[in-house]
Amino acid sequence: MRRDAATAGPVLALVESARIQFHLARRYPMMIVLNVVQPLALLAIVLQRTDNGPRALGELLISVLLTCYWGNIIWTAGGVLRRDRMSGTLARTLLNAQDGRLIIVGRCLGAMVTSLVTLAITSAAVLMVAQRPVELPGPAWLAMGFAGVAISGTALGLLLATALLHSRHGVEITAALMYPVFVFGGLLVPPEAVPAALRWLSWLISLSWARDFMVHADWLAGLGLILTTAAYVAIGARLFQRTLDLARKEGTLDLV
Amino acid sequence: MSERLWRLNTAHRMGWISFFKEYPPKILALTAIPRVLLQSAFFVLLAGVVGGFAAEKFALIGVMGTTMTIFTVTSICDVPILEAQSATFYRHRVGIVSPFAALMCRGVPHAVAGMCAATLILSAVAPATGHSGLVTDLLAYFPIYLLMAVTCTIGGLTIGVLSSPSDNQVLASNLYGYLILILSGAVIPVERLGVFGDLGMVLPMHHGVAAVRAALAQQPWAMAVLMEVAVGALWITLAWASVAYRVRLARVRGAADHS
Repeated sequence: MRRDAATAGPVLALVESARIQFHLARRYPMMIVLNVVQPLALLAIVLQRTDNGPRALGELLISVLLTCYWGNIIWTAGGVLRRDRMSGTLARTLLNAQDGRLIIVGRCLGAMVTSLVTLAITSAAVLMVAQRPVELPGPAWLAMGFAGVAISGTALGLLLATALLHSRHGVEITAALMYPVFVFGGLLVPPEAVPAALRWLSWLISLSWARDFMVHADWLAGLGLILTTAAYVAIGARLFQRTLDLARKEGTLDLV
Repeated sequence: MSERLWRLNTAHRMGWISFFKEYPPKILALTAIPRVLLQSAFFVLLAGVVGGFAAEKFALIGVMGTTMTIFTVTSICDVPILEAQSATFYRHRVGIVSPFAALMCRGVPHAVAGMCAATLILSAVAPATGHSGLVTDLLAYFPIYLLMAVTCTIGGLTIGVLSSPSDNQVLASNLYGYLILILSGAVIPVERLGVFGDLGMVLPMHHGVAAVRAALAQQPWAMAVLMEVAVGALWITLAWASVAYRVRLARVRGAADHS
């Protein structure tokens, strides 16, 4: 018999939240845009170059995956609470028997894993149709890299989902957050293609470290991924507490 | 001013009011303008990564058109959708100005915003990516971009009307925008698209972008402009038919709006 998530342990609450988000994500139209349409468009552009060897193609593929994954972080995970507010279920998400952070983390994790799996399927299908040989990093590097990316995306999801509650223009802000990382994140556009004074911006983006970790098998980049993710967690948790204070103590933020 | 013109102008003013509700000046400055600049810069730089400086130049000409879709497709789709969600479409059905004319008037701000986006790209992204030489050349062919803004707005409005009764408006508008980006020959040369290139011929911007490229290469471009006008006529017919269909459905089903 399944125990009620409210009275059960944190692990069950986390799993149930992830499961709920998985079901919600399937009905979210942006999922198709971000995980099928956008990777198809970007792959159509980068596959124009036919002189790429299997290794270079593998690097491009990982860059496309991570670029599209950024879109998933901001729209799918970052929009978790914004959509809850629209549906009138925000207060139930944030204020229940379990810590609200746990619920959001579970839901962001569900969204991120769903996105990664869908993106991988789309990319594999495109490469099969294009019949281009591709050489990917070893399975251990890929497994560690994508596990790190899922955790980092979840941490960023907590941060963005909470931050976007503070504005009524969440959709416009989310749309504006997309391309700064596309350009300055060091993913598809190499850092040397942007002005030297702005290259440091990619250091703030965990996906940039994750790319270097997987593509160059660089442990130092792995450390960068861990540090940026830890920073997202710390800022996200602090912002969450501040948001709850505004809603419950100071009464200046609507939860419905 | 005749009474009919006054009514159309009122619908047009409503369009501006709702546009600035969606994009208040602060949101416009902090989100929409950076998005225009960075989205266009991304596709220009990506083209450069794939094909070098020549590919960047090629992409810049196209991206000036396709970046307009932020306003001429994605945001204009919200116009009929908001009417449906707010249950206000019946007001248009019973009004003196036809629903089709009212929606067209309300699309004007989005076409203007699209042209402002193209101007921004020309004045900021072109010099920043090392293509200052293109600025004066492209300025001469700005009327063609204006035509593309109009055809694309009509296309976006049609997609909004067709998708508004369902929950798929986000998917429809984004899919339409990406189809224009990829199949218009903006960033990928049409000859590399194979059979998909033919599909792009019925989409806005395909012929307009081709006309600008031909004009820059000192080749005949008038026919491509006429083809863009023809595509615009096709989409305006489709827009009219889809609005008429929605109105008829609302009357037959007795619904107050077209949801």
